[in-house]
Amino acid sequence: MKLTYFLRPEDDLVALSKSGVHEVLIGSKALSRLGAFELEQMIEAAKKAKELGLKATLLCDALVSERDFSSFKKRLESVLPFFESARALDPGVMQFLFESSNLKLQFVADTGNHNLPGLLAWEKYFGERLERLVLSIELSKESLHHIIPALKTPCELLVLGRILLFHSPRNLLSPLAGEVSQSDWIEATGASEESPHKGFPLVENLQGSFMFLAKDFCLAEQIDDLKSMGLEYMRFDPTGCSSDLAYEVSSTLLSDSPKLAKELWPNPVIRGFYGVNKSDVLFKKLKNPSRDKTHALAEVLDARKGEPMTVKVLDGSSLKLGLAVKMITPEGKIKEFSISTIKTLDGEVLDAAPERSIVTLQAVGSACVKALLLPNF
Amino acid sequence: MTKKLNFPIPELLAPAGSLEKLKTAVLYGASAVYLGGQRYGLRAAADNFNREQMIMAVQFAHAHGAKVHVVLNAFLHDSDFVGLSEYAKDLRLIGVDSVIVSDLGVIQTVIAAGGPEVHLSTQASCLNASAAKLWKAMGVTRVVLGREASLEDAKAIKLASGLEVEMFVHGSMCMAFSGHCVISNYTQGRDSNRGGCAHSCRHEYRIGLSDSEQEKNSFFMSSKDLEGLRQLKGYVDAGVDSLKIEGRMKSVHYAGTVTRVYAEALAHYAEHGNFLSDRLEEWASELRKVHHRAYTEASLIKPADESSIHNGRDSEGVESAVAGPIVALTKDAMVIEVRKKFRLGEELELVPFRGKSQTFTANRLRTLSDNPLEETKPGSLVKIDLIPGAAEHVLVRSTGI
Ligand code: SF4
Repeated sequence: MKLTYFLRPEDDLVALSKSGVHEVLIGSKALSRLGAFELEQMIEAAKKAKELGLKATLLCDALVSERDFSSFKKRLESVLPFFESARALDPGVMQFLFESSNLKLQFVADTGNHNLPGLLAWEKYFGERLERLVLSIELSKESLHHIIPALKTPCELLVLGRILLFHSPRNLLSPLAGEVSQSDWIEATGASEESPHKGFPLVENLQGSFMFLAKDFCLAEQIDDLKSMGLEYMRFDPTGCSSDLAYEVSSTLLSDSPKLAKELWPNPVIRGFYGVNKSDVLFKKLKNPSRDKTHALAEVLDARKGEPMTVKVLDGSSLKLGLAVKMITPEGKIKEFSISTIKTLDGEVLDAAPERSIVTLQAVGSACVKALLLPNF
Repeated sequence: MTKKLNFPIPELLAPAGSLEKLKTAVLYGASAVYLGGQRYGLRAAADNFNREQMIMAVQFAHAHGAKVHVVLNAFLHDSDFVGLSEYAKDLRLIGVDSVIVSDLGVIQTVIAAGGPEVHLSTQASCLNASAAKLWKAMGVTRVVLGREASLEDAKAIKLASGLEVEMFVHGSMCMAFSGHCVISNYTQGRDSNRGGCAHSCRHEYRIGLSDSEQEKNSFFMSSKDLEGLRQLKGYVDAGVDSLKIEGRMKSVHYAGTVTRVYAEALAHYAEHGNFLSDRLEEWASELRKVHHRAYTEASLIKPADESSIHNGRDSEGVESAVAGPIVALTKDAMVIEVRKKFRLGEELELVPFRGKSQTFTANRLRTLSDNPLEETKPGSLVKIDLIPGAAEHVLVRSTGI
């Protein structure tokens, strides 16, 4: 597997090339979410990387509103000649690069691209120009096993680095920052006052505001698994560690004992959803409401002690005199009875009540609002 | 554009979290509603529609000249696709007008199955004309722009792409770029892109700035609510095809009140070609009668700034609450399903589907067995003497808050 490295202005390209890194992602403040290079500085870094035999990829993964798109395009066009590949997240930026350049394209398919039909569609659309798909760290091991071999485009996955939780176009830190609010890069940490979660790193820059998880993502121990799936590129985002340590971690990730990288890493780490997709479990739970009206005939709308109870007959159902029913209260209490009286709200006596009608039935002890009437077979 | 009028107006698209809310929204003037089925949508906890309810919803909406858009906007994993093709075909069979989708895999599946036409959900974060062109090539017919888009953006995107454009006009706002927040995935194991958002952005945080010793407490990432009432002319001039009201999880009071305000404003435009009604202030005050955070015009005109942040926990004070909707009429009474307690002799307000509200006094309160009542209890049904303008689904409000 080849190593892709998120380059910072303070990093030394010579040292990186010695550590075995294959590719550097070079992002500027103007064109990428979290790249910290100025445009001129970025061009110099790209030239130097190439001289050293490193692949230099333009990181232009900003999300770009229509009002900013033409100035973004101009800045982008000014740096394109210095790169052979570009990486974008915004489909509009991808489309622009696809139509207006000859660069090889890398698509960041991380937000919400969690299935093969969608990834195959991106592959088909960009065709030969698509050099790489950057996969989501929310994909489980099982999904990666199934997705990577089914794609003909080489894939990449983060193996060590920050977990981005939130990206807003708005400036959320500068209102708190007073004097430093003039700066184009503000950093902070946040702790929720309403949950046990704390230590969220925060950044505000030209691209808006970002929140990260306090723990970093690490699959250093799973690199053999990833190799066996056919993953071709692993990405390392060194934010949060010194350059010297970053070079050491890079060479460790490429060594025969990549798992040692986890021990070198200065921050606590997690494997995210690699092992099990916890979200799946909850998703299913949320989709199973406890009060299932599928088989209910009617719902109690009004019930007072000693008075007839009022029900609404549900869609597709009806009630008739003598029908045996089972009443289930929201607390799960069950009461069985037969319908002995049906009246309209004007007191007219009926033999049956059609769907969607509101009628009164006899008084029934323990009846309460929202109780459901079901057939009692 | 939906209706042939002196001055064509955009679709008014209201949230329908339940059949009751759907009927309320349509009767109060929505020309389209959006709702979730029991699968593949984002509002996992909402009272979503099963097949029978969906059929009823389509029949009711179409009978009143309104369209039905079904939300399939969750981002799916491969295992979630089971049954999606059949579901898409069935939605078409039922008569659903479109589906709102964010996931390219779902778009492909719905199109391949011959499902309803596909609108791109705001969750896909289509921000520019270049992206709209790409999504058009993928087969969508409409894009729902994110709350970060301006009216100028909408105009440019529509012109350049030839797609229909839908924009939010009212309601709560996600602080993130739509689809770009996974806070609850990691802090609560709930996938916000599949219906599990835990609204962590509404929390209070203690912020420590790197260049400062001090820590500050702030609701720094909580957004005010969008109110586009005073920018309606801008929406129309930009050629926006559909004005969307957020809030499938919100009350029937909200669905009726907010829909009515925007429907009346659009009706005024349809007749006069402007929004310069002497009822503008009345409409604005109606919008303050439903639960909301402080209002903002967000990014409609210029990028949302500090003033769009809702630095507080509470909603704005509401000036009215719904006493309850009318659920039935008898020969001499309107039957109200009580949502908020009110008392005998209290002043109430009947909110007709069109026109001015009328106040009346609850002089006689009765149970359904005609026993007198002094006060009502939420969740119960009560009779109030019939007054002109009463009809099923009309809202009765309590003014004394
Ligand atoms: S937590 Fe807030 S910003 Fe994040 S998805 Fe939910 S509403 Fe949007």
